[in-house]
Amino acid sequence: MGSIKDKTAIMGVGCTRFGELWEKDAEDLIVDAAFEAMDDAGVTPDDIEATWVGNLYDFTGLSGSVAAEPLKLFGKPTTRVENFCASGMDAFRNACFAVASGAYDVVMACGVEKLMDVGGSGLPVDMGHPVMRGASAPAMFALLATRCFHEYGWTREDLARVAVKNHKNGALHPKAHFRRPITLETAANAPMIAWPLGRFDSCGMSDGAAALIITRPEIAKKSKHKHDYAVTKANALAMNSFLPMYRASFDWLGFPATQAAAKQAYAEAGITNPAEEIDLAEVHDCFTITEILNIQDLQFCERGEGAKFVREGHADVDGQVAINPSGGLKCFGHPIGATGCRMLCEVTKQIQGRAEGAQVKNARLGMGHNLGGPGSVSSVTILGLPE
Amino acid sequence: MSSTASNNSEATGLLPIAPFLRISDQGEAHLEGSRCKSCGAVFLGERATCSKCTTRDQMEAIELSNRGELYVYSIVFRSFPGVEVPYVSAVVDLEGGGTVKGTLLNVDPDPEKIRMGMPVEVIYRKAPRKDAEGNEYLTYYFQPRG
Repeated sequence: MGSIKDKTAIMGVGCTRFGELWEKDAEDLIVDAAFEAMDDAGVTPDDIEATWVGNLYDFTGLSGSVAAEPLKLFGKPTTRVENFCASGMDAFRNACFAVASGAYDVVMACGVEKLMDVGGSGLPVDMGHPVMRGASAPAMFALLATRCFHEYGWTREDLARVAVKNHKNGALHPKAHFRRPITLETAANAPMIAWPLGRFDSCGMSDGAAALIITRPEIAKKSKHKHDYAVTKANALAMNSFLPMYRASFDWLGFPATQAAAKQAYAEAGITNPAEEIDLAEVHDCFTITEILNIQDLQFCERGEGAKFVREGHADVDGQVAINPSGGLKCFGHPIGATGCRMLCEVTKQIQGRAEGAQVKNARLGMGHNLGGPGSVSSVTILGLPE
Repeated sequence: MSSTASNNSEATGLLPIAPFLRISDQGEAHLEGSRCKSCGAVFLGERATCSKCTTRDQMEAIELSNRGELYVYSIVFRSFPGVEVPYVSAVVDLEGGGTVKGTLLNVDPDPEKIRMGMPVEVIYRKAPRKDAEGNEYLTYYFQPRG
């Protein structure tokens, strides 16, 4: 099997502020993100040969028009990608393969979501039913938390530490949705949504868009960021059964999709000791429990040690692996289709040493991770410096 | 919630809440699973191909047990409009195979009162709401056993 390692380069990145952006619609957001990315790359819409756009909720008939219409990318290909919460990162992955094939020189991967226009106060996951409704996302993820409490002795305070860390990071980022630090006491005593997940264990509902301009290293070498472009080290994606938690083999202590995507990514990037080699990771902390499980599933520590990893400060910006230095989904926000691209914008800027929020010192190798479905799909992308 | 327990003729005329809830002509309800004749794996509901060994067309329909053990739970305090809270959302491993998610009744919604592995049984009741066309449904719940 071949590899994407060092074959594609990030020319430029752009990301809107995330939040309840009532003054913008989805088209405004994608224009803002795409033009910021094109300005960063030093290209114009005419230079973009093909586009992939991640988007979960329909606003233009589930088509490439999500990006082609607002950006007027007519006469060339645009493909909409939907893969649950991994939609944006899968858009990036597809864009990378197209550039690596040599079919195109400069392409765009972007993602957008306007959750405020979808309505609802949270994300439904379990299918609704005419009379029994369905389960909310917190009610689903809470099930993992109670099992982990039982198996590993973790507590509400262990969950709260994740929220405190991500609020501390997000407060420093000018584009994050929530920009206030919180105390352990505030998080641990927040109103309960679904035991043991309270208000501060859940990410918010945010609008936003993000975009990346992708090329090959030989072109990046002559571009605006010729001295500091990032390259892809791995592009992994793994599916699992839809709602795998309803299968007898699911132990509720981690996500097989993340474990499989991580394994693929480390093999592709040639990483043998993730905790030693990776400097930062933007991981899918839709809930605090999910971040702790991601840390384990991504092999930053042993199973059962995730809460300790956070408690001992290894996930802090100056820790062993800075986990969510942007504030994560918890604080930066989670406009679903945009999230994967937003993470990769952040990782790129961290590697370039121009993070807009908390900068991880000497960041050389960074990861983006999504988990969607929940549990049906995971994507892991690793970005680094050119060889 | 009016009617009680399984083997109840009141179930006649009610629609099953899920495809895997089967109601006989006599009004007796059970949860249906399928077992692979090749590897023995048991799943909730009907399927044509075994998810464990991928053998096709060797799945036989079986009646799942009404007895099981609690594997995980959450106490839901905020839910969709019209859903009564708090309620206990539970995942139960049934005796002989099959994993089912549902609502656990007749326990205090308090983590101190709910024990992992506690024995539970499946019970069948009329669902608390009608659908938009006025149809009534038979649903299943769990409750502590013995």
